[in-house]
Amino acid sequence: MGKRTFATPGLAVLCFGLALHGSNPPFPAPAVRADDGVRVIDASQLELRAALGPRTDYASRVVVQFKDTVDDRAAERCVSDAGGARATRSAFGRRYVVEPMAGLDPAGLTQRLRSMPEVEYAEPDGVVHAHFAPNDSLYSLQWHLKTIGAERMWDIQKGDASVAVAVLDTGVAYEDFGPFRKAPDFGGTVFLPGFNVFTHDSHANDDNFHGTHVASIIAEATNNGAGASGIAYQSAIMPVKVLDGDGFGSNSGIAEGIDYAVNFRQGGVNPVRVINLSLGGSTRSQALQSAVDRAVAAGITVVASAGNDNTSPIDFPAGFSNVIAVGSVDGRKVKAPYSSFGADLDLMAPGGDLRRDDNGDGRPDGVLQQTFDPASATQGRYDNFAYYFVVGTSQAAPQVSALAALLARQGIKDPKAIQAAMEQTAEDLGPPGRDDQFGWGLIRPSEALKGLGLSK
Amino acid sequence: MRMKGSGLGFIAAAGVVASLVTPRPAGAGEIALTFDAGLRTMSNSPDTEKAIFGSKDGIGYGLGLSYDRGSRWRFGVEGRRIKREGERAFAADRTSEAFRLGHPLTLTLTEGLASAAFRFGKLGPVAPYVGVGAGVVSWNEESHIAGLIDRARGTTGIFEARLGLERQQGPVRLGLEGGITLARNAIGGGGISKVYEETDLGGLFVVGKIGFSRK
Repeated sequence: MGKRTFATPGLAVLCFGLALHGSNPPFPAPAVRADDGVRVIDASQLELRAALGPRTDYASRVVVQFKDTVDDRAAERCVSDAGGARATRSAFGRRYVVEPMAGLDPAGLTQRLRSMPEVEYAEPDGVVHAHFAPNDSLYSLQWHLKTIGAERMWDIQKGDASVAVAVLDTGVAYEDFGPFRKAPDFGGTVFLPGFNVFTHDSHANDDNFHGTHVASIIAEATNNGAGASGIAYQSAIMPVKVLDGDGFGSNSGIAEGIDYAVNFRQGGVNPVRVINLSLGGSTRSQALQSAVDRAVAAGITVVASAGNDNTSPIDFPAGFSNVIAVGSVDGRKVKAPYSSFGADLDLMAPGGDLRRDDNGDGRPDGVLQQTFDPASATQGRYDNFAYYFVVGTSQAAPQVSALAALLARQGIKDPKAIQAAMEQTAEDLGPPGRDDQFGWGLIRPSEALKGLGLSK
Repeated sequence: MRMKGSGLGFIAAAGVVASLVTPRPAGAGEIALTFDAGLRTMSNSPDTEKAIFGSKDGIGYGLGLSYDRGSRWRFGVEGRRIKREGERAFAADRTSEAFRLGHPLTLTLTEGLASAAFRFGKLGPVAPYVGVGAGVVSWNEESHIAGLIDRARGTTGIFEARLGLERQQGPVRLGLEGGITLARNAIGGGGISKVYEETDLGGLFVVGKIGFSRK
């Protein structure tokens, strides 16, 4: 039986810690007085409105700018001759917003206006809308979220607790139990009953740091004004401890954890739609393959990290054909130097490179999320929480798992279709088409969530 | 601002009405103004139709002007607008189930055809007929995705074959018509129609007609 290790590079695992509490926090929270005249608009109302779409069909209108020598009467005649039904003049110049007559599309109206000598320019009016950007204090340092276009993704889908991701890892800091404490930025995160394959009980507490960081990438509490953001932050997390405090486990233990996730029922249904495996080893296991097969047959998408040895082939279980194998890119969308590669590699996500600062924020480009201090953990303390930049394919895989959860919530029920949606909409990196260094390319969540129209 | 479009529409409508009420020379054929409404499918691309529109058929409305030459032949021009509401979808490949994603999608077809029909004479109170038509269809696909609108549009030729039954009482014509529309190579370059390798926007239809004629 091969030993399993989590897929984070051996060196420089943790580079930068941000204290949650303390006398001299690196990122001080803004002081708020009882009433200092500052008010906050409830972002959730804006999100609700955005989901309904614009009340006015702005996109059907045309903006036309007339030359300075054209008077109002001539401008209105031009608009009428071009097929404009109604026009509104700007208060600040000879710019009109024109609505086309019934049956005339904006493109046709634009063309007619452009052909007139009185017109300086004409263009279809564009639609803009408020973007959802979380107010978490460390969001600006989460370069990986910008790399995958998270804000537009959140406009479309944020997840839902009816869809859960099982995180098979070193456990998760999700409850107060014995020496273990719930991580502070899991306040709004929904957790399903966990499972510990070592103790065979429901306490899947993290005694390493890795699993908490991975779970935070998926569903750290978001838009709560503090800490960092998670990708599918309204999805539920099922913590399953399959790796010990040193980050090792076995094929049989992982198979046991997969079977727990597959057989879980809550109200007669299994909310687990995704299993994240930020781990791997070089041994192909029949027991593990069979467990993965059972998961996929049950409609669960299985995602695994490719490995951090910069070797080919990639590790197992990522190497199984029905597992989505995820490699890592840095802030330039270049393959991270540690990311393993090969014929079974499927997709890439930003896993980072601590030696780089491509976004120029003065911080190393790791994936920033909450977890606890691993040095303290070796001494039995699991409550020294902070925000850590961590790199590895372990950090890339949960981004794909989170997207899989969002796609499941959007309506795609079949693991094969979820994988296809991600692959067909990925940003092609490296040589055109699929290749062994990047697979199908970098995930583009908002494109995957859009789905397909009739002809586009 | 003047309403040029509605003015032209009024002139056109007035022309049609005038042609119906103005006295015409003896021996001239019968002309008629006909309205139709009914169900329009995209059955030539069944997987695409099912993925986007589910079981909801399209509703189409049309207006036509026809001229009867003798008792057998009828020639006409007609326009039609068909609107269908569906959702964006995703399917992994052509053999896979499609999943609908909840983003509203509206397909609007605007058709213009020239048509010819042959009437077989009376069969009891009704007269059966067969006909063909050819013209162009302009289509517009519009998806609303979380506040943004995604559009695709195009124009292609259409061909239509139809058969129907008609009953005439005085100047009023009542009809029931079914047939098939072909709109080849309109879609299939992208979207779900590319996944299913389907290219035709047309399909079976059944419509009811009411017309007002004058000799």
